[in-house]
Amino acid sequence: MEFKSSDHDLALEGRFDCATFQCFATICIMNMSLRLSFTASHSFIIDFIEFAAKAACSFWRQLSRNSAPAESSSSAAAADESKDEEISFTVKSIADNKIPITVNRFISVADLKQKLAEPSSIPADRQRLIYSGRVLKDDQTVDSYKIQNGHTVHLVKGAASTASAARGAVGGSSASTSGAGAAGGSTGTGGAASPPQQLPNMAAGTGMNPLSRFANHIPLPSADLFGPDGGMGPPPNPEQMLSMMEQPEVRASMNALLQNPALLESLIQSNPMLQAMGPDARRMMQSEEFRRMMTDPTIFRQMTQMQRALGVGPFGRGFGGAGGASAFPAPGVTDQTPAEQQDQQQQTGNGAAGSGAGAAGAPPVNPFAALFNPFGAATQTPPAPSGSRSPGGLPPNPFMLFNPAMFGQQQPPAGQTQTQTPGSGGEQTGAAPTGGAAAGQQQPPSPFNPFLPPGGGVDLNQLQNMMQILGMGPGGAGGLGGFGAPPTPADNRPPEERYAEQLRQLNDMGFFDFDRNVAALRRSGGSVQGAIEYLLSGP
Amino acid sequence: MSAKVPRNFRLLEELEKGEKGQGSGTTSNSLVPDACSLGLDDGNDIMMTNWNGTILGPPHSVHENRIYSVKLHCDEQYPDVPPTVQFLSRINLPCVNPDDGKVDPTKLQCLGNWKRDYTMETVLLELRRFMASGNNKKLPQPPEGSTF
Repeated sequence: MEFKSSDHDLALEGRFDCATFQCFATICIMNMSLRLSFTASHSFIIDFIEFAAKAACSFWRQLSRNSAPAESSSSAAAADESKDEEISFTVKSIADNKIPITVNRFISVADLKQKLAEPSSIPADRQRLIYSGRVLKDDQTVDSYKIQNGHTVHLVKGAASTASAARGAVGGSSASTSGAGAAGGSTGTGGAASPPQQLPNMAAGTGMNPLSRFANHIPLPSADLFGPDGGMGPPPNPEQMLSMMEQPEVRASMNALLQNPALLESLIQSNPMLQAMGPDARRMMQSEEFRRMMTDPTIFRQMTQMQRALGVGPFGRGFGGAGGASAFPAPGVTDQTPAEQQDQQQQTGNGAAGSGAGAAGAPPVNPFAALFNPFGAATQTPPAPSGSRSPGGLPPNPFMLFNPAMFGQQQPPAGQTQTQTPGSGGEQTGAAPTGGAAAGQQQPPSPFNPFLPPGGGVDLNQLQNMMQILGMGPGGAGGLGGFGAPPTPADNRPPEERYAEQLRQLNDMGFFDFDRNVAALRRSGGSVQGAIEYLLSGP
Repeated sequence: MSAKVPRNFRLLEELEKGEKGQGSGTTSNSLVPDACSLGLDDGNDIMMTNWNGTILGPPHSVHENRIYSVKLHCDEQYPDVPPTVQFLSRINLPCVNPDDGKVDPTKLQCLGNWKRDYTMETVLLELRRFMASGNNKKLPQPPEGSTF
């Protein structure tokens, strides 16, 4: 027998010749270590030997199990011939449900499914069996897939072969996405009543969703609550939102959500902007006021009113998926008339609204494009020669947290509230409300948290009053128009720079055509959501 | 300095994981035990070059309840170079060539920036994540069961 010392061959022989495997392994390892001791460092050898030994052991175990009856004959070939009629393996079903089963290896897969129907409580026609990267076909035998003793076959519940397959096949096409808006609210409220059924599904989350880890720990609402695709579609209208917010289940789960420090941690970790905020994010999200705000329907109602008063469709395009950031005025839009304001509360409270209303009355064709340009705005150099701006005034938007999927709708109002909240003092008026993705570009000011004592001292009641004032109606907004802001000057930077952040997001989502992305972003005024809509519907 | 795991040890390890159902997400996300499956295309192929994989469509997406079959090819240089991945089931995904189902390595992060300690399971899980991300989960898909 030829001796082969290369690790390549060691592995190969190990797999296919169990009789000689052990001696090979021993000799090879010895040989290797001898060889290596002259050339390589000591630790390397140790590592390698450890690894080789481990690998050898595990393959030896595998091989010996596979050919257990033939071990005495010391022949791999014999193992193949003396196949047992019966084999035992594990069927791993959803939710880690393991079903040990012993069957005749020559039965068909269809028969195997029949046997599994009861223990797995999945009807045979909905069972999908997967072994070794292959879907088992009904008309084949178990043997043909070479399933071995002790191996694992995965069982998945598939769509039924006939009727309900339509859901998977057609449901995802444009029909469901376009219907998302209308359906969103109704499924949402319906879903709230029956979250338990959805939970198993959530537990099997995509791995993307930071919340899925917590599905078992707290009564999370089902993702369906937020619309057919977890709230990524157009948000429901405010009435539907309101009725949802008024449901105790929803409030309770929001509360539970925000009380769970581990969950908050994971949310913060999963969001680069919140990470950049550091401990402030955590403190803010744990504060009582924040929680109350997120769960109080009256606040929500007021915010809706206010948004209407400002002439923005409460859940208009600008507030879509691309986020709460879009609800913020551009950094350049600074409150230039501090003298007109009596006290700090008013000043800061109106600062944002004033810039909103002011820009709305300004001459440019589409003021909202600039005003609601979330990321472009953040990356623009602040043009305003305003002494009242604080230098580092680009705090990341804490409410971006609620942007991804699950909280798509909660976040516009929250964002708006943020707009109404003073930052750390009068000198920050214009800057505090600006949200943006540029957390990395400029250091966020540390006393950012609006709910912390140094954060300006606006309590929830004052906030509500302010909202009521602002919610008076168009007249109110008109009046605020007087506080107008200078129009943002044209941004002459090349698109890849101006839209760097948006382009990155689009790329992440799988839009790779640079030119189209830029064109789409131009059309949408920098809104990622708008750009996606254009890209999906466009030419 | 740690040992450089040779190709066949690596592949054997991956094979064992696939056959015994130990992997498929246990390392990266314990709540997705059955997200992917992996096995040798031909059990007698001593070079362990061609592999089959399945990816379960991620929930809350158009892919939910679907099973996608892929072929993976690990050449001599694996794991120094990524495997080539080709979908057998038809799928509409930006990183997948609509004509032959080949996954474009430049468009999938883990293939483009391949690291030696990535495994085929990494690739399958990444593909699954990709299916669930952003817009991909809404893309209209060809009828279930159609193949390239």
